[in-house]
Amino acid sequence: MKHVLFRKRVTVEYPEVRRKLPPRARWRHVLKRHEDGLERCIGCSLCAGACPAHCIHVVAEENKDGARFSPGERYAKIYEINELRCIFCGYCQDACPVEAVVLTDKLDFASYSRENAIYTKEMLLEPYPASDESVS
Amino acid sequence: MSGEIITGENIDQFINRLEENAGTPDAQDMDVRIEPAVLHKLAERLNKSPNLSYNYLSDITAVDYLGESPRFEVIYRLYSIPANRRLWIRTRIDADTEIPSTANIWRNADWLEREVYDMFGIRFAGHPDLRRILTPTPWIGHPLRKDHPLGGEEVQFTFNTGDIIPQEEFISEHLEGMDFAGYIENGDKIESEAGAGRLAELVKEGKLIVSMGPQHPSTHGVLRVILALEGENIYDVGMDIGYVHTGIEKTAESLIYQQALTLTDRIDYVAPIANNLAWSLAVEKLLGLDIPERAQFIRVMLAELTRIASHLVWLGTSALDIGAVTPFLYTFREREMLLDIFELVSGQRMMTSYINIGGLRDDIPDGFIEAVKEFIKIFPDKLDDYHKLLTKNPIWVERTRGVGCLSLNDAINCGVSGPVLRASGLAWDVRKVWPYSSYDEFEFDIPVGEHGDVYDRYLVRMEEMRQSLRIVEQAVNRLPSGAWRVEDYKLVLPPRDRLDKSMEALIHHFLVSTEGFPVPRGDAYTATEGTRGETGFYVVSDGGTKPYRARMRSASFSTLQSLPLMARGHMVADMAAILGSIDMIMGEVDR
Amino acid sequence: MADNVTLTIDGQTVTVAAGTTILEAAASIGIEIPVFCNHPKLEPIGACRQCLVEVEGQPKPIASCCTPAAEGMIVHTKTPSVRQMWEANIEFLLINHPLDCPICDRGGECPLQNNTFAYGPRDSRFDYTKRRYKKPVRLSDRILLDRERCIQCFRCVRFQKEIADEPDIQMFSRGYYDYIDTAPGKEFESQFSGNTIELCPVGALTSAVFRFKARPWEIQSTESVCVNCGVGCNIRIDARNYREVVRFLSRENPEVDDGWLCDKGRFDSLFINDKNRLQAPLIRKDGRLVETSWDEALETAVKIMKDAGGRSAGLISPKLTNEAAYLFSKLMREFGAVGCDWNLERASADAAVKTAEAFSEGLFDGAIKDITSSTLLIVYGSDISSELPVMDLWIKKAVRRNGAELVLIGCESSKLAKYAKTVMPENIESVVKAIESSKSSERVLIMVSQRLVELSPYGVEILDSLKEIARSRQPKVMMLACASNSIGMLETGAVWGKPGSEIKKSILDGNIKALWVAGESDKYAESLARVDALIVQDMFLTKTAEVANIVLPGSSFAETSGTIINTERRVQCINPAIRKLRGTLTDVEIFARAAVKTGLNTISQTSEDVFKELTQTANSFAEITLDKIGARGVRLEAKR
Repeated sequence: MKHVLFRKRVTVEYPEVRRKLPPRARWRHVLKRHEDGLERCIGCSLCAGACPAHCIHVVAEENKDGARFSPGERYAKIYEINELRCIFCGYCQDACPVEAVVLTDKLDFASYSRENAIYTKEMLLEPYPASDESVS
Repeated sequence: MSGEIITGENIDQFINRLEENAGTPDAQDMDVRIEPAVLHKLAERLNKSPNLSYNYLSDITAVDYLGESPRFEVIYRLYSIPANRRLWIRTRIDADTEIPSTANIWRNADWLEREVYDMFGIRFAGHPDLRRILTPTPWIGHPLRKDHPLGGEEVQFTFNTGDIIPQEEFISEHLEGMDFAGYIENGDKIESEAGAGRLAELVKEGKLIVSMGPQHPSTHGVLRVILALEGENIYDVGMDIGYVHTGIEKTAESLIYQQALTLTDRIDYVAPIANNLAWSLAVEKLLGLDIPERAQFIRVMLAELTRIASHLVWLGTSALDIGAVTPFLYTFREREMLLDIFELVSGQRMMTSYINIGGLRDDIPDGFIEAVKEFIKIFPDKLDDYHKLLTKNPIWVERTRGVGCLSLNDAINCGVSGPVLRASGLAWDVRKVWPYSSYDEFEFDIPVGEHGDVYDRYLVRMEEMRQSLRIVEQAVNRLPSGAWRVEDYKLVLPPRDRLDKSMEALIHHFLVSTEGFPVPRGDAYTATEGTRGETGFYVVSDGGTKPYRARMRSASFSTLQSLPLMARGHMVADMAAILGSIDMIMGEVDR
Repeated sequence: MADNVTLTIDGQTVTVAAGTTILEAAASIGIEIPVFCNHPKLEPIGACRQCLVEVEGQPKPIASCCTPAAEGMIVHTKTPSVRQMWEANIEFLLINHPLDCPICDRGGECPLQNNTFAYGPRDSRFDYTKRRYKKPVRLSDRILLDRERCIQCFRCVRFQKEIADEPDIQMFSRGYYDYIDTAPGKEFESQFSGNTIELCPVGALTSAVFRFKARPWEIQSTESVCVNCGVGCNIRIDARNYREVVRFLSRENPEVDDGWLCDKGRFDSLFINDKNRLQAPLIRKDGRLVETSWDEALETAVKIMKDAGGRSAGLISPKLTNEAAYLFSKLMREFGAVGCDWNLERASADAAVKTAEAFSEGLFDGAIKDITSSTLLIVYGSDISSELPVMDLWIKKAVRRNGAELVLIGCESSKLAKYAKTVMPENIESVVKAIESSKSSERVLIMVSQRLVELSPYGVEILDSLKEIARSRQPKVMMLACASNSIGMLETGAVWGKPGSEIKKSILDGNIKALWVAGESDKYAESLARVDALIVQDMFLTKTAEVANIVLPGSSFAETSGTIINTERRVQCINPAIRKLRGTLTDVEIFARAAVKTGLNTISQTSEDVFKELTQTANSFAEITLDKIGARGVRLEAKR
């Protein structure tokens, strides 16, 4: 065994250095948009139905003239994920038929209170226009 | 044998028939129904008779068929180790009928019967100490009965913040009379109820009673070991488990099969993939699925890498407990590589939920094979490094050789499996005896010990890591191409690109992801060689989309029972070594 | 036997009555055959072709829904070719079906989805363009139509024609081009339109009221009973998060509602979710209503009533439960109130007494199911179609299918008039005449309005005549209840003292100093406003509540448990589907707490306990238990 002084260090100096997570990483949720800015989420609640932890709350509403949020008839007026109850299994991502809810590689999002860990639609929706900084 | 129920009338004929047919192929796997009264007599003959020698009790469990009469079915799974035979004994009883205890035949029955009593309220006549084991003493009711509520609390969102419906209102029936506040206040009074007789005796004899745990760095989880000491010598050992009991088996009954899979990650939380595999195999058996070869090979690969990852945790922590601090950092460095591999393939380092019913959740990504090959390349040297640190280290040898011996007979009688059983001298590995998931296509050896002491267990696990790596290498080199799951959209989700083109695919996607797929009526058990021993799920389906009963046969549960046999006569300081060598995971013990 | 037929299905023999279809015969032995257009309450039409089976000896597959079983038939439903037919038929239906599942309200409780999963193909072979329509189309403020999803099963059209006889929707055009529509310029007005939502096997007809509110896996369902009218149709209340009721569905009780629910029951009760519901008791201080605690509110209310003593009165809504009525009555007696009633119209106390007697003597023994087994139906004094809508369906069934004769006495503008053999002037003599001119072999059912019997000045006279008729001709007699528990009010003893009209007169004369009005406080707003000290128990701050001294926030029927008695004297249970709104109490809780404050310390505090007391004290409840009531209710019996 090489002496410790001559071995390669394995420590990753977090937070100055963050390791790059693989593409399938399952962490903080984001609600994606279409290219034209319309929300992908159509309020179908399949994510809530697939979730083993029952931590997704969806209230759907009808798109109206002058108040259109997603393509088609239906969008999510309320969309919340209780990130503390979430087990990051990714079933919501698998169930979503329109690739709206995805789990990103952002894993450092701890909060100081339980209330702050309830991510509302505003917190989950990706910004538009998309900025260069990813949500990570 | 089907349809026949063994009673006091025909038991003798039945046993004679068994003896006569002992060598025939029909005797390999048997399933018999008996009246409860003949259980003890049958059990004794099965155990003692040299032709039969069903010397190993794998599991005792029960199922509540509420609405049927008799209401409960109690199932015993026995193995005959010398002949590699399996026998299921089933008996149906009502809530107020007692079943004879078999704890004096197979020691494993001690805790198993206590668990059945705890969860179902079925009493075992003649049991040395029939009291609750997983739920706290003042618990009222028997959780796994169908009329016992699951419990739970509303999930908090913004609309109900500050207005969470209290548990008592949220669940449909109240747990009347339960007095947890009283439990906390009167802790020591309850305390003395637990194993009260034995404890009282020991105290009278002047032994010092010390609790090791439940908070203790060396108990590897939340375990309370009750030591009866004479000075520093251990006179006897008792155990209090159930601190990590989270009702996983009950929760699984309220989730669809794919959702229940996410629960299995969290049972043996150091080797999650192994549990995923055990669950998937059991459900796939009920579904009658043939898993494609590529999926099977990848499963094997991941299961073995998980075994290595788990043994690395064991090595690091158990060495740490004895005082060897250094290996911990090295083993976790290698484990990091494995966790990176798991993360690459599934997106999560630990709770992967990657092995799914029907195959895998996705094909292996680019970079996976390279990463595995890299690990295969560097690990043998690392393993040698660990050996250099410990194997001939005089302190290590002194602390582990001759410590915690478990004789082979005791091990078999306690239902011990996995490395602990093998260290006691038996080459028994489910991957070899009843191969699953194409394990029979791989070449690997089973390391076996001689003395059954802590040192032998150490050697066995070290060698297992090497053998696991051997399997992984074969899997990588011979990985077949082809399907990575059963392509049946009535079971698995269709590919995304079909969802905006195919009405049928969309309908199946909708239903499979929310309602789940129905599983044919029946029951099935598949044993796997988990990292700690025989792990398997006994799944009962009523034809619906949720499991009617999901029982985990937990290796650590049975193995941990043998602790007193290992520890008696040793010194307090040896407890750390012994506990480390058992390598139990409390999540698996308590579920 | 000539009337029975024996056939074999999948190797199992079964004997059925002649005329039974193969589908029905299979169902009777647990063999499931998928269907879309078939429905047990509608005539089969063989439109969807899903139920095709093989019958030995027949060259082509047979539609089991509209083919009667024949002696010696050998039927197969499990052969590969039958399964292939089923799969192929579903494939056809899905060709033009839009990929709407994620946005369609039927998703998760959809027969098309379920049959596709059980019998249909796994993937699609169709990659052309699907048929498109503009969607959704508003058929009324309650019903939306999505023509792309329609699979042309005709269930909706058939329901409107065969059951409701209000053919507001039709299938226009033919074949590939056919589509559902209303008459030009007209809406889907039928008061039973909501049933088509439940009948539609896809998401073509959906509720505009429920639209997008919840998915099946987000819903908690509770069995209960509708309180909008005296029929007491059995319903299923669906709620979300135990807090918000999202919809009301039918829950078949073959003896009460025949599986249907009118639009009032289906759509009109959602006011219970209204944000303006009261959430704290109010008390008048310095001329203004301010929030207060339950203790203060109830203590003050009790004091007000006690002080008024013989110049106090009680007015209870006939929609409240038996248990609430029983406790309210006790409370009013404790105050020494001058009277207790559920309306301000009751002409005389005699009629109430006589009606109660008539109840216990078994005069009103008619059941709802007697409608379809009678040959002569006499409806006296009620526009049934608007007052008890589902009874309108029963009568139509009796007249159109069974050839019963209908005689309308009064209400000549009623929707049922066109089915009536005669319409006679509204008086008891007409009833006598109708009976006398009928054949003695007729099975007669007389349905008489509760308003006429109990509330009108002619009540006693009507009861005497009815008793006379009952003695001579033995017709069945049913009281057409004014409200969901107006019969229960009398049965629980909550009608005593001054009758409603005299209470009203006393109020207007200034002789009622204090009045406790429990529920529906807006009904007699003008009169009630004249009372000095009002205690109003209601869900909203009604006009009456605004001038009250004490306002007590009550819970709705969806938050309460209790029993109610319907028009045919059936006791049924209502069950809570959601938690009580924060700050409210149920009626039983309010009355029980108030009673304790008056000194009645041993009074029953819960609905269950009050019910037990009722069974021990009220004669008519003597044989009733909660078990007997079960999910379908049990009728109060009294032998003539």
